[in-house]
Amino acid sequence: MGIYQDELYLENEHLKRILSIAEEQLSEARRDSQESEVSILSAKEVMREETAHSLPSLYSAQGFYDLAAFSQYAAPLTDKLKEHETVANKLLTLEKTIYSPYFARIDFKFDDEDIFEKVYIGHASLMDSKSYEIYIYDWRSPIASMFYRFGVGKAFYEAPAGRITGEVNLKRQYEISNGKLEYYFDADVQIVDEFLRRMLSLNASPTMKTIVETIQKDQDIIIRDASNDLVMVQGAAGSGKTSIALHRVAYLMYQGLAAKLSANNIVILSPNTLFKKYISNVLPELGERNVDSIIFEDVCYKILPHVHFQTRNQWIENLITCPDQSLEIIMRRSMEFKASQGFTQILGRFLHDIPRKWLKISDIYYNGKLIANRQQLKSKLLVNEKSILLDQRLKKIEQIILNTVHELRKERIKKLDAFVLAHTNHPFDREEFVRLLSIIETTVLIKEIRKFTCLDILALYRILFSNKDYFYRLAKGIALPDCIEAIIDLTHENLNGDHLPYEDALCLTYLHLNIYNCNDYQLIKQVVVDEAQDYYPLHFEILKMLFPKARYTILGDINQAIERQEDLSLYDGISKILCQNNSALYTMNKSFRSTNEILAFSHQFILGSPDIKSFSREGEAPAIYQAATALEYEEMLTREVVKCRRLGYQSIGLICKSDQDTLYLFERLMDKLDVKLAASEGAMGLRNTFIIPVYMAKGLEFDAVLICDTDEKHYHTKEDKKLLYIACTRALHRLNLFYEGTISPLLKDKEE
Amino acid sequence: MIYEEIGEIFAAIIGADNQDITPETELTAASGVEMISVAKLIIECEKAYHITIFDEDVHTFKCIDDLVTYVNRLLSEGASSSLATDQEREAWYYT
Repeated sequence: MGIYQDELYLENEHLKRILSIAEEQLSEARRDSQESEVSILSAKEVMREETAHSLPSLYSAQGFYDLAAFSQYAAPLTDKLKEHETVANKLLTLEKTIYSPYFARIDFKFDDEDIFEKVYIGHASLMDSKSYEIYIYDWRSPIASMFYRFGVGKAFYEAPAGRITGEVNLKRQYEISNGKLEYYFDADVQIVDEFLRRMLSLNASPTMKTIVETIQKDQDIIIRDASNDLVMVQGAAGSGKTSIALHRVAYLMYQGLAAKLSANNIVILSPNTLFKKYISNVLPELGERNVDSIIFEDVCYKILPHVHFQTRNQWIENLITCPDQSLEIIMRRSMEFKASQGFTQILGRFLHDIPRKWLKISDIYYNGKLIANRQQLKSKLLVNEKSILLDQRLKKIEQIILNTVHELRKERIKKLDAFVLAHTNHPFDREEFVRLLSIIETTVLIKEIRKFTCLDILALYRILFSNKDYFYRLAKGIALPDCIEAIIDLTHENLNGDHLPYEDALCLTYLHLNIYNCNDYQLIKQVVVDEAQDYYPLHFEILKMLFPKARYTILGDINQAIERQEDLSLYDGISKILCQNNSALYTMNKSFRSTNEILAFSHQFILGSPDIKSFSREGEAPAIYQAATALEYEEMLTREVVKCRRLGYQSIGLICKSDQDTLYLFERLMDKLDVKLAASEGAMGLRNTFIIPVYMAKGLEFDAVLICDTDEKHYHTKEDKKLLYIACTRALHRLNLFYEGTISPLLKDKEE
Repeated sequence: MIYEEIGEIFAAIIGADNQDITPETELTAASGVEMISVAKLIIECEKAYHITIFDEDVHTFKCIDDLVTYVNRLLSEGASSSLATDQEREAWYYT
């Protein structure tokens, strides 16, 4: 034990030294911060004094000069604030460092040296500002990768200058909190299971946690894969896909520091706003802020600002609450078809036809002369068709016509002037009246021209579905679904309403991007797509057009596709569409989230035999409870929630099938229990009891889950089976199912 | 400053007080502005800034601010009309 005591003494001494260095840097940063605060205050003071008198009139008629003056004072202030923000970030990092400076150490000997060097690894690096000696290495630094990849023995890492080889003779993990070394242990394998198990047995937190300390070797490979332009991950529920994606973002940004990859160059597509909130905590934890997290509909809103359309969640809700089964099938097929590559091809043919067939190009007259001939305009429009977007070609045509008008203007004015001279029975000044006439007739003219140079994409899209002969001509050679007639009829009807279905909004977005220039996302270098099984080929076609210069990280789980059956070909399809030069597909089939029992229970809802391993952690087996009456049902749920709370579970999810069902259940339970409705956009920290529809719970996790209404009315189709799978895999520690009346046929054999 | 000048010009044309003109003051027939006043305003702006305002753009000026933005854009593009002086202007129109 003597050796351990000696080592412990040394470790404590080392920690003390590191803390004193960090504290010194902290107080220095605090001084900087105070100084910059003072200078900001004084700049604000100056601005107030100099501009206060003008503030009331800033936006009134005389405000222009004041506004200019105002901005003159505001600009330096903005700079100072930015500086201040940098210092503030440093402060935050240092405070965290002092709380827990590092979590691991490896002793590494370079091949050409004799002594082992101690490499401490933490969330952020700590460096001497003068000597540049590194006290703590950032977990993303090249040398730190050895901690995740190797046990004791030969090891190497990829440095910017090439591969560095050597030997590791010690791997040590620490638990330091509040600046105190709680314990440490040495491990000669990759991250010790005990450590991981301890972390996993903790409760779910209101927001996702970082996993820097427990990253596994195969996870580390995905996080640090910098050689592939398209990284795809098929990960089972609870395998930590999202966590990996976020750590990968943090890693890429760290890597990109040299290449000036700033937060604004990364965009994360998350499935819903709830999820956005859930992950919002991870990146700042990892030291990265301001990464743009959007949902796919945000993209459509931006491109189609004046169109009202359904979100994916609304679409799913409509689908699972649809009382008419044949209509439900048509809705499903409509989505599948319109978002397929076949339909993308039809849209392509339609785009080809637009300038040839659907623009009402007319002869243009000015000053009594034909100045632009319909046929000539048409042939001009088709020049450079491949390289220039239609909208830009139309603008060019308009400019050509207007140039002619401008040339003839003088002649026209003369004619109008003669006319006005001849008709003197008006009270106006001659020049003004001539100009008025010219403005009026030119306005008529430009409106005539814009009839074909300005496009109404929705109106064009309607053509496709109002003329079946034309539709079938375009679809020649492309496989169509059996119910295509019904799809066309339904779409025709929908397009005349004021709320477009989700799939049509996607098609419009696609058409728009093929006609108009969109530079909004040109700077994006990295795109992360989570829950890829929710996306169709058309989504990826749109992403490819939006982010032409980006590299992709795509994560999904084919078993969690709600409305269709997916298999691994999903990823082939994605890589074909994005056609990146190098792509890799990783599989993560070890589930860390749920206990063995929950995992085993959930497997009955997947087709075939899933290859999903659990990280052995034991718990109670899930049970299915039947209630005889409505009252008993409510009591059962209440009792279970109370029990979960007594067991210390903080986040409890009551999962229903649809949003409608959650509302109904909420009304029934609100007087008995403190429950919250996870309404679509509502605020939520998960440390609570929530009623939530399955499709919104996707990607989230709860300590305990109660699946409600598992009766035959709610769950009977093969799609319902997938919903049950998703619902089950949300649970960390405890899972139970409840129903009233007759049990769902999907659960029947399980009950006995 | 362009805004104030144009506001003044327009106030003089419609016989209103300078104070009553704001960037949001509308220029449409629907808001009671006569088309001839707009024509006048356009001519006066062309004279004041030595620019050419194209007739086909006039219908896009829904309010004073639209016109100010347009004039500012022309001036910043350095697109002053080839008709630099009033004489040239008149010559262009009437000879």
